[in-house]
Amino acid sequence: MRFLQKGIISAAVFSALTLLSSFGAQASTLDTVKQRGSLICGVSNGITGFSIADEKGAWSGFDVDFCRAVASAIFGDATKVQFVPVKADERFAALKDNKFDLLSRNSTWSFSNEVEQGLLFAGVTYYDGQGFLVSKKRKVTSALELDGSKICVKNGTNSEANVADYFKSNRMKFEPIRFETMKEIIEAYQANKCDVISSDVSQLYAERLGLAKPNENAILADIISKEPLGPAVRQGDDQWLNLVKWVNYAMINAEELGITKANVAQAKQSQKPAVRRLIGAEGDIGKQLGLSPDWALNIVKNVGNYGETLEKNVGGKSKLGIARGLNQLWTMGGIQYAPPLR
Amino acid sequence: MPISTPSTRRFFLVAASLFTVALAACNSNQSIDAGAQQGVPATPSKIASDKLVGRWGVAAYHQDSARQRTEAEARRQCSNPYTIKAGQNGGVIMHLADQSEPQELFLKGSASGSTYLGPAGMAAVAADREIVAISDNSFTIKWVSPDNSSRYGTMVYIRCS
Amino acid sequence: MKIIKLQTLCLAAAAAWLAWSPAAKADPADASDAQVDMQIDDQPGYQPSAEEEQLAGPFERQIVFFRTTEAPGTIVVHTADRYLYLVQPNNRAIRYGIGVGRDGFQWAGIRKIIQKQEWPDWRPPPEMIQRQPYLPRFMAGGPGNPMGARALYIGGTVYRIHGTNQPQTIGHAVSSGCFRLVNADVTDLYDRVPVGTKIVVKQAADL
Repeated sequence: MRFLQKGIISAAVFSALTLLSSFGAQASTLDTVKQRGSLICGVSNGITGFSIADEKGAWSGFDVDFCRAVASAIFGDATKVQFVPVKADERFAALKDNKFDLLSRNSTWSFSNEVEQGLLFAGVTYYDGQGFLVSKKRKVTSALELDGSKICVKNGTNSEANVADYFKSNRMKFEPIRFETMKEIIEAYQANKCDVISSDVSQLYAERLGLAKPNENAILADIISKEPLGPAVRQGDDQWLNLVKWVNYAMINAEELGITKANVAQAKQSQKPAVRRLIGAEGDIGKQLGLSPDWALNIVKNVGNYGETLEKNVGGKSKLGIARGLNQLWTMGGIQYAPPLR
Repeated sequence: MPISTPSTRRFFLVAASLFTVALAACNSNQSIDAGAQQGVPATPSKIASDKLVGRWGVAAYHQDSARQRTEAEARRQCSNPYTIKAGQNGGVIMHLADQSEPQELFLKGSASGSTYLGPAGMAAVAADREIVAISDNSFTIKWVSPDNSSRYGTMVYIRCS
Repeated sequence: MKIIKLQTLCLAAAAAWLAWSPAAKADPADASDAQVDMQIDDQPGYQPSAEEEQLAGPFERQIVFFRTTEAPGTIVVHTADRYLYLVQPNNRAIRYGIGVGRDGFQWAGIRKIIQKQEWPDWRPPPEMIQRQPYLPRFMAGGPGNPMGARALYIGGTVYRIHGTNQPQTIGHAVSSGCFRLVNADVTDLYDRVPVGTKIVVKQAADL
C-alpha cells in the first residue's frame, strides 16, 4: 500500500468494514485504523476478568485492556476502540475476514491456531495452563497427592488427555468423570461426584467464584499443560504485527522499569536511559512503529503497565485473585520477559 | 479551676461530630466505651500531687507475669523519661490518653478508697487513670477506660535520679 | 472515646479520623490515598478476633507456583506486591500476605535471620513517642502487643519480620514496622524457618 499515492489512499479507504475487507491483506492495518479513527477489536463476551460487558455495555477485562492499550498507542486515547464479541469457533475466520483489526480473545498460541489457520500471534500476554481445583478439606498441597481421585473433566477437550499423561508419567491413577458443560461439572463437584476439577487455571478461578463456599476450595500450584494466550493478527502486515507485539512488550518493560500509572507523569525527570526511551523522552522508537513519541507513555497513563493491568483484572486486586505464577516478571519468579526497547 | 474553656468545648464538639462521621462509615464492629464510666463523687485525695512530680521511666505490661521484667525495663528508660511538673492549681501537668498536649490533671479520692488521676470533677471517669500502687520512687496506673487499658496496658513509672 | 476496631471497609474514614486527631499528625497525602499508603497508628493492646485474623483472598496463606534460583527454605519478600514467599522444592512457595512499613521500603538485599523471639517486646519508635509522649517506652510482649506473636530479626539491619495485632493492615503500607504478618502466619513461618535462614528482599524498580 505504501507505494500508492497518499491521495489515492484517502480517496479509496473509508471506515466502512465492507470496503475494508475488499482491500484485503494488502491494506496497511495501521493506516486503516488511523483513518477510521478507532481500533476494532475482536473479543470474547463473557469471560470474567478477561473480557466481559456489563448490562450498560461497558467492557472490562484483561483482553479488553490490551485493546485499549493498542488504541492508546495509536491515538493517545484508550476510548478509541470498538469491541466486537466473537464466538470461539468463529474467531479466526472473522479475523481473516477483516471483521476486526486484532483478535484479543484468550486464544492459545499453538501450531494449529497459528500455522494451520494462517495467522500470527503477537506474543503471550497471559500464560495459562491446566490445573486442579480441590477442596481445602483434603489438605492437598500438590497434584502428586491426587492418586486415586475422581476427576471431573470436560468432554471433547484436551483436558482428559492432559490429566492422563500427567498421572501416567507420575505413576498415579485417576477416574475421569466426563461432562459436556462446565455447569454440569460444577454441579457434580458440589454433589461430591468427583473430588477434583481439572481445567485451565484461569477458568478454575472464575468457576470457584460460583461455588457455594469459594474460600473452602483451593487451586493447586501445579500446571500440567501449556496454554499461552495472546493477541493474533492477520499474516502479511509486518508493521501491524510489530506494533501489536511491541505494545505488549512496552507494558511488560514498563513494569520491569517501575513505570506505573501513578508515576508516569514524573517519568520524564528520570535519568535512566531505558525509562527515557520508553516514554519517548529519548530516541525515536515511536516513529519507527508509525506512532507518536509518547505512544508507550500513553499506554501506561491510560491503561497501566503489565502487572497493574493483570492485577486489576484477574490478580490480587480483582475478585478472581489469581496468583501471578508464570505471569510474574522473569526477575521476580515468573517467565514474562520482554525484549528490550532499544 | 479551668475545667472547660471555650476552646476545649469546641474541641470536643468537633471531636463528637467527626466521631459520628467515622461511626456512620463503620456501621459494624466498632465498640465504644464513651459514657460507660459515669464516675463517682470525688473526695479529697490521700495522695499528695507532689509525689508524682519528677522525671520517670515508663514501661507497660498486659500480663501480671511480665510485671517484674517491666519494672526493670522502666528503670532503664530514664534516657527518655516522661516528665511530670506541678500545675498552677495544685494538680500535675500530664497527658490524657491520645492527647498530644499536656494539661493539668488532679488526684481524686473516692468513697471506695481508690485514687484516680484525671480532669477535675467526678472521679473514675473514662479519661481517668487509677493509681493502683505508689511509693516514693515508683507508681503504677491502670486506665479506667477498658479501651485505653487494653491498648496501653498497666503502666509502671520508676523515678529517675 | 475511641474506635478500637478498624475494619477494612472503614479504613478511609478511620484514617481521616486519625489524621485529624491531635495525637496522630498524619501526612494528609497518605490519608487521601488510604488504600495504598494509609497512616494508621499502632494500637498497642488491641486484641483482634479470630475472624479478623483469618485472611481471605490473595493475602490468605497459600502454596503458589514460584520459580527462583534461591534454594528451598529461603525467604523472598516482594515489598511492592505485599507478599512474603518461603521457597519450597519443585517451583513452589508458601505465600504469606504482609503489611510493609515505611522502614521496609528503605532497603533491598540479602541477609540472614539472626534471632527468633516468641511474643516479642515492643519499643515504640522515637517519632511515635514524640507524637504520643504518654506512651510507655517499653511494652512487654504478649497478646495485645503491636509486635504480635513472633518476631524474626534480620541480621545487619534494625528490621524484622513480626506479627501484628492489626490484621486489617495486611496488604498495605503502614506507618511503622517492617514486614508484618497476622499472628497465625508469623507463627507458621516461625516454626518453619531456623536461625540462619537466608532472606532476599526485592523492591520494585523506581524511576
